[in-house]
Amino acid sequence: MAATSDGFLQIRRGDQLLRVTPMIGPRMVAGRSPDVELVLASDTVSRQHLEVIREAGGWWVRDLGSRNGTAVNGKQIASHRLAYGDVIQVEDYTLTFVRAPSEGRAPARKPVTAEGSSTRLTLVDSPVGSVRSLRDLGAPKIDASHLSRLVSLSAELLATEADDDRLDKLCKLMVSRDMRGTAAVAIRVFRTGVADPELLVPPSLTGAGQGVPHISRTVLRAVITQGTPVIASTSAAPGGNTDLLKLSVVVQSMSAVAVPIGGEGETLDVLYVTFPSNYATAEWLALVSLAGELYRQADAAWVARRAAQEQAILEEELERAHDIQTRLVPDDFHLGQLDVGFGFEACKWVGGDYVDALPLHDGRVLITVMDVCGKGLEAALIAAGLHTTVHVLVHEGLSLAPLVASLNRYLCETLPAASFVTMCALVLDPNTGVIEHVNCGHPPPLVAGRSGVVREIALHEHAPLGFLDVDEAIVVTRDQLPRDHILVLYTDGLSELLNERDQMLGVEGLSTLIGEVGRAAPESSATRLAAALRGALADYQGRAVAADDLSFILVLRAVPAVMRTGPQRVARFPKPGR
Amino acid sequence: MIVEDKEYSVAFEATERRVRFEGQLRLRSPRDYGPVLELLRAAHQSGLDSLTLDFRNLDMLNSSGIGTIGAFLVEVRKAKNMSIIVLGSANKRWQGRTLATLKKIWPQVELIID
Repeated sequence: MAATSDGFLQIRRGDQLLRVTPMIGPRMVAGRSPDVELVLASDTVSRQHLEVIREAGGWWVRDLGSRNGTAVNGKQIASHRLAYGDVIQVEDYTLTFVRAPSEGRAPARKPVTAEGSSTRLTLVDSPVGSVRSLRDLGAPKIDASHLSRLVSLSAELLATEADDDRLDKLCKLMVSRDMRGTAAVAIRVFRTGVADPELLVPPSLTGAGQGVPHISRTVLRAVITQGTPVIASTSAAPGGNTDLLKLSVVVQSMSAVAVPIGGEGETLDVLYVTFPSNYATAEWLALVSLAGELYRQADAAWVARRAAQEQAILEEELERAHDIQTRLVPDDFHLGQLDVGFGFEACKWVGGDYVDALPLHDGRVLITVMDVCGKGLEAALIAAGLHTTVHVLVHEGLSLAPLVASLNRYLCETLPAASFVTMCALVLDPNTGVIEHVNCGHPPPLVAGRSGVVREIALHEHAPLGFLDVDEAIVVTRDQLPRDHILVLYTDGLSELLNERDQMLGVEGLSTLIGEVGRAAPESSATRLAAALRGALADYQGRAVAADDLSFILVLRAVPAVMRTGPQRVARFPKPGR
Repeated sequence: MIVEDKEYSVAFEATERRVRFEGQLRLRSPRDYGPVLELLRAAHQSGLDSLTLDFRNLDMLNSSGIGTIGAFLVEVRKAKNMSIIVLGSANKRWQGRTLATLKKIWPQVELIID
């Protein structure tokens, strides 16, 4: 038997069951920090959001001063003693406190339709002898052969994927020669008792033609109330209890064992087994309880296995999406006096940042950084569309202003409501360093020289794409990138980067980092400078979790000899589309 | 008319011709800003000829929030039946740049940072 915990937390994001965690140890912390026991990877979850602690004989959940708060069953809490079924809400995550790992999952099986007398459940209110649990009975003396059979059952259940087949194996074992039950049924009972129990699989019976055993309401009430296995027998009642004779049409004097094996909220799944009356002992109760526990554990293992499989499939898909998006980022390259390096890191698998550099047919280079409002897959799909559109427009031979106007028109027609794209697009002449620039609500690019002084390039700021009036004239501003200077285009993920103390880097802090990188400009390649900037950002971030994508393009204007030190390729000019 | 949560409130005060933003608006996606956009649309359809968007007590507005306000401004810009005044606070540094973006969306917006 595996060690049992005091409960489990089922962790879901939206409808997706992510994992089931046993409640073991004195304390577990949940938050977005990778160091905590329960990582909830969302930028709106605080690094240490809440703790679940064992105290005063129970489990408590406490909010750790989180930014967005913690709710239990829909109410904001500072501290709350957990009861089974409680749902802790942290942003779009839910953590459900359950007794068994398989509780609370979507109903996996439909009740067996009651057709004909062989599958009809009959409830009886007959008095029975005292209903007892393991605590009321002496220590069970279990035969080694029974234990061996239960071990075999565990292996069978772990190898049986279909829920109904596992339940069927459990019931069949109960009526086998090893266990000697006369009948076994798996039923779903309703804690309120309003509705009648439902059969989950066809009953297992010892003989052909035998009917489904009558079910004692007294026994069911006891198992619902106590939440633990119980046993009762006709022979246990002083003076004899002939009413229980009606419990089975086959067995005239009998005992019954009821063991909880799952269920959620208002329902409880119960294994109900009848035995001859002289089997109402601690041994048989213990054996059925062990079998029930093995079934629960196997069920939990299958739930976890399926969740892991679904998660693995999802992660594989996201990994592919990540690879595709990463491949859209050009390799570092040099062209004339320009040396271009890239930084691209999505805070999730994929992101809404777009960085690109395209040599134009007139010998200049179009350099573009865009940031799609929002994060994740939706933003990534929009960014992928931007990539295609920009390349098509460049292939068509559009100059900067018409290209931006066309892009804005396309986005106004296709973006979801309240979504937009900030953009910085510039065309750079590799020989003269002359810059033509259009800015649509994007942070201005920064220029740094060997002195470390950093400045923003001159710009006229339009509204973000998608909000920009399609009839508005696009203003192109001009600037220049001197030799031995670097130009950095970036998304606000860099300037809004948080460190472990929740302090924002800011444009000033970023300028300082870029200034330090710029001082090394003449001696290094863009690839190395970009790596240095990535390193500086990582140092600032420390162990804090990135809340936004981190993307930049670093352009170094230097003599060609310097640029030969990096692993770059030489860019090729495209042929005009027309 | 008011939309509020633990962290923020957005209130349309018709008599003041004002929509007042307070707290921290950092909902996850433009979709989550739906109730705020509906409130703004209700203000637009109230028949007023001018409306003040008062951000002076707003401590944070994320990009999805800017998108929502931007989408509203585009609607008003197209309808041409209401003038918009945007009030910001010079004490909140983020507001200078962010609220200027709103004026970029619709240059006729009167932006007052005090």
